Amino acid sequence: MAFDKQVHYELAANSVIDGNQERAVELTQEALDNGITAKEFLDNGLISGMDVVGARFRDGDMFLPEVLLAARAMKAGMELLKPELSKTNAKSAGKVVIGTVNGDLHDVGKNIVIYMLEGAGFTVIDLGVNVAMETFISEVKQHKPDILGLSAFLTTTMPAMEKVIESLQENQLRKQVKIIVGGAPVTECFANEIGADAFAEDAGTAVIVCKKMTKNG
Amino acid sequence: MPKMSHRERVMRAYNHEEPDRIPMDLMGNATMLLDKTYLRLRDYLGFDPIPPIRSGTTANYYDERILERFDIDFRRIFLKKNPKARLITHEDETYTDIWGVRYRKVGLYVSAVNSPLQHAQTVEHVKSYNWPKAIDMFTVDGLADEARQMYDETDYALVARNPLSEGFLDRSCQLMGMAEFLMILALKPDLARYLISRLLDIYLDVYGMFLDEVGPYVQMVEVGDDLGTQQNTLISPQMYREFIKPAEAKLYGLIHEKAPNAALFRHCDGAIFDVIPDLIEVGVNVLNPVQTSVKGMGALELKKTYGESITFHGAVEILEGEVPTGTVKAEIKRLIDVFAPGGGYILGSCNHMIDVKPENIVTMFETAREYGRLR
Repeated sequence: MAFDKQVHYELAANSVIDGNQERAVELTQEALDNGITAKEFLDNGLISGMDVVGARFRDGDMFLPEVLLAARAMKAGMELLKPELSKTNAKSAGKVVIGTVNGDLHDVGKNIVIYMLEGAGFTVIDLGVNVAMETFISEVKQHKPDILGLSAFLTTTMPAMEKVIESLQENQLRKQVKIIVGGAPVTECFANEIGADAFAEDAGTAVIVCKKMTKNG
Repeated sequence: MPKMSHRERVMRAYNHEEPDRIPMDLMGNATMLLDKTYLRLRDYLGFDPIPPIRSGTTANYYDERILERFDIDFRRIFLKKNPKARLITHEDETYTDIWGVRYRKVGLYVSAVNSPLQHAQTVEHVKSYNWPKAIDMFTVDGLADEARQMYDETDYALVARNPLSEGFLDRSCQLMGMAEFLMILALKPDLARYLISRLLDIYLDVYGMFLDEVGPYVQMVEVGDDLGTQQNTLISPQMYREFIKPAEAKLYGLIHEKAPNAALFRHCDGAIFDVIPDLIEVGVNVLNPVQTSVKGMGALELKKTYGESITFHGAVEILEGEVPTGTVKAEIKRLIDVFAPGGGYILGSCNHMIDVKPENIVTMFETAREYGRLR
């Protein structure tokens, strides 16, 4: 039977959706053996599976354990693709530096966003919780990310987001990075007020928004 | 309606009958004041300093004078820490508790910095862990007398304070790491089940020793575990039913047996609408903190759907930061309008008060005392 690309993409997407790591690796190897380019397989197979996962998570049809397994399957497949991806200079979906702002130690929401972003092919640098303003600035300087993600869980720490943005401006770094903000008390209105580029209500939306921003960027 | 005793008022609310006024709670499980907010309130009310009741957490004060000032209906009985279970402090200012979890205090919060069972892949590994014993963690010296005295000499609703803070899901995530444990639930169900069964043994011992002393005297026993995020349950309802619920059923069964006159208070954050029937089934009588701002947890819908089978506890969410006093007043009235009819509501803050103005705390309880009277 002839190798059918479309069927193969679908199988790969399903292996990610099912969180089946072994199957994802197997299908990735088969794809490479049959001459599909790494980039093509990544976009049409693994990532398209992760897109479904993101949508289902957002709609409440999928839960965190299953999302984590999907991201793990996707990453395992990506490992096989890496050598070819780096040879052909295929970029990752984008680079994101992310952290919970000063004074705030909540990280569950931020971690969910990281799992989903990595699953969607982004390179993520996690600065952790209670991140000082200076650290955000120095990490943006060092990593030159496409996107900076700021998270806050408390109304009392939200103002620290604005300070980070102001400080990026003072350091002439604001134009080189898009800023997305999120967390329980954060609203679209607040995001606009403090001069962020985007806001996402949940992790699934965060991935969609980040994808849009890197495409337009 | 004649004025009721505090205890009577609370019992009526549990029984879904309207009391003379809305019962109010403060300084219990997830209704503490963070130290900074407590100290500000204490000074505002003009009280002298008192020592904290515990250390190493973010909210360390329990102040009888404040409870009396606001006419709070509940008083707590604490299971005392065994001196052997003291925190071990390290040179880098982190400290380790009796579970082997290491913490660091940053700003207002305390955060775990390790997960001692992160690499456990087998039942054997979990079995050989240095599990704490109930008697090494706590001591019950004099507790029965203390409880009897409080029961006889005051008319407050007495509460067996949650001695363990974390529930089965929280504790497992803490010991294994959140992502790791959530994946273990899906990939290695036997390992997940074993870990939870080890926790259950310890929890049964702790609540057993506590309630053998105070069980006959308390009107409420606290337990907690966070199952929800802002959007949904953290794990699917099916997974909750398979792994967590059976352990809860056993623990809550023991609690009801040993504290036959007490309502079971369950703290559970987040969007948990779909698992409330399960919580009721395993014996939860009082649900806290009732986050009406998260997905699917609207106050009207909650009251309509579950109002007859559970008592809501908490729900006051808008207190943080620079909220105008008028807004607090209006919100308290709104919550009383929704939750009070037919009993089944105890007013309190939705989770600990982090950074709340003293004026707003006073407004919250004064409004509830005034507006919460049965008209």
